[in-house]
Amino acid sequence: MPGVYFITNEFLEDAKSAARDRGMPQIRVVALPADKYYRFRASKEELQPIANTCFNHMIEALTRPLTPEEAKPSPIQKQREGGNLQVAGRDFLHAFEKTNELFLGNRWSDGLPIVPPAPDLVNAMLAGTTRSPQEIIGQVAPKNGTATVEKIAINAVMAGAKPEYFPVILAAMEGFTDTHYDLTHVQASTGSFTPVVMVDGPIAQELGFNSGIGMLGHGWRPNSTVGRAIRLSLLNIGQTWPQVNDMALTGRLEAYTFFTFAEDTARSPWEPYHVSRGYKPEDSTVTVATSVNPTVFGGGAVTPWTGPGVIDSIVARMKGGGVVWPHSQTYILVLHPDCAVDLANHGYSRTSLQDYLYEQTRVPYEKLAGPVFFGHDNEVDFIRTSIADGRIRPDRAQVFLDALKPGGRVPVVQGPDDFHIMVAGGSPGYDLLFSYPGTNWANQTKRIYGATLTAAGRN
Amino acid sequence: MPHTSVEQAQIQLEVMNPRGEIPPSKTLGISPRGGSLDGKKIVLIDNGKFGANNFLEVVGAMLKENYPKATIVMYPKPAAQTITNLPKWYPTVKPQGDLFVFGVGD
Repeated sequence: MPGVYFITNEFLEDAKSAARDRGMPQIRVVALPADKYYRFRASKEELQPIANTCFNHMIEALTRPLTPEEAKPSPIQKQREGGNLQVAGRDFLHAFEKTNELFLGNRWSDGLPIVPPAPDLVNAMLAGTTRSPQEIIGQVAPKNGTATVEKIAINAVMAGAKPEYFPVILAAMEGFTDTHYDLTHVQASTGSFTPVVMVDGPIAQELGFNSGIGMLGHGWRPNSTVGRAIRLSLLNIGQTWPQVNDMALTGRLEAYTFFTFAEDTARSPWEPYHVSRGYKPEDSTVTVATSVNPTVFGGGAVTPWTGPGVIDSIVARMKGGGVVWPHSQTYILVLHPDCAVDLANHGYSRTSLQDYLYEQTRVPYEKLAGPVFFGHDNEVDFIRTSIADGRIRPDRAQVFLDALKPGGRVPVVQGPDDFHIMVAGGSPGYDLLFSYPGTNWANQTKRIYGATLTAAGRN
Repeated sequence: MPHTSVEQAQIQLEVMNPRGEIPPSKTLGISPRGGSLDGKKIVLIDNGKFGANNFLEVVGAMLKENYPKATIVMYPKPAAQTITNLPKWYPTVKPQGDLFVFGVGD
């Protein structure tokens, strides 16, 4: 079917890149001036001058006969990504600097200095797992680069990770490349989403992950380098670059290490998060998720708080406006240990707290008035479509159908288990709410196995 | 130590390529086109982002004015998609008309 795509000029490279990725490098696009389109798109009158300037271009794109290259484009040559490189230098420090310049110039780095991935270091990293270097962990969006164990090891070396961390990194990459996880959205979206990486089980303590004060900050090598190894793996194996095919408008607030931390199972009043997901207490796991930047609750060291008060604030926040997207909304709630204990003392288990959040955040049908986009005029229509096309799980559909009438109360998530509750943070601490109004069910938990250098994570 | 402008390679650092191999994909040409739009059915696909419908309605009005014998239809992409159900939607576009205009893709 002949056609033409309107984009804005800031996305021209992105469009060309995506077209090549999908094997149609010659699609015809018409670029609109981004600085005018986004400002004036609310008004047809103000859009008219923009349409006037591009109309003839659009007609030409729809009617001009194809060139031979458009009709039958040359095959896209496969770019080999194997083979080692030789970097010459006066001395080691000179060669180190030249390696960093080479890698950043090739868009193989995040801009911070990297450890040169020498074969000896990569082999040492590979010795941290029993898994074969050739094993394919998955395909990394948006270009579907093949993530082998060896490629991930190269990136882990560059990040400064220790070989004993490697099984954690592999499990996280399994999560990010799971076919149910929309990695393209994370890697490329203007929304500037940041991955969350949460380690659970005995390996977290054995490796020395920080789950206390400063858990999202610097100073702990496992938190910093596991996150950075994932950052570099996604960048290099998926072949992304800002302003080319990573269009995160602000970049990500945790751009270099993502939100990487461990659950504080010792101070949690509840079973570990991964056990609530069906894993054994002796298992070690990584949970990966997509999030917008977290909202902070609780008083920390400044003002008094109570567990129920924190939860009320969180409920108010969740109900406090915006479009209800139950088909895709997930939350990660990271409670600091004192808050979790206070809630437990008030009788809450993780499950009953999930149920409480689910019930308290339901929105009265009469308040579903938000204007929505994606082709719908109102939220009721939006939710009904989500039911019809299966994005709301069939076993939850009736709950929503019952709620979509006067007097009904519409859930903001599909079920209570879309509130993922974890325990980490300091004493005093703050509580963090990560949300994701995305296009899929984002959370993935993967078991860590194959470790050779730690007692945990072996089997 | 005196600075020297002549670099003498004393060491070679061997490093590995961190990039993932991209599996080869089949390359496809775009659909043939040519001639007037008169008598054609043109499908305007709203990608759902705010304002795209406004822009396409403006473009649609211009098409009607300039090509009165063409038929213009709006066919919005459904609400925010999942990675699993978009492939089911794409094939529904073709029966809607002869040509498409998609926008506005960021």
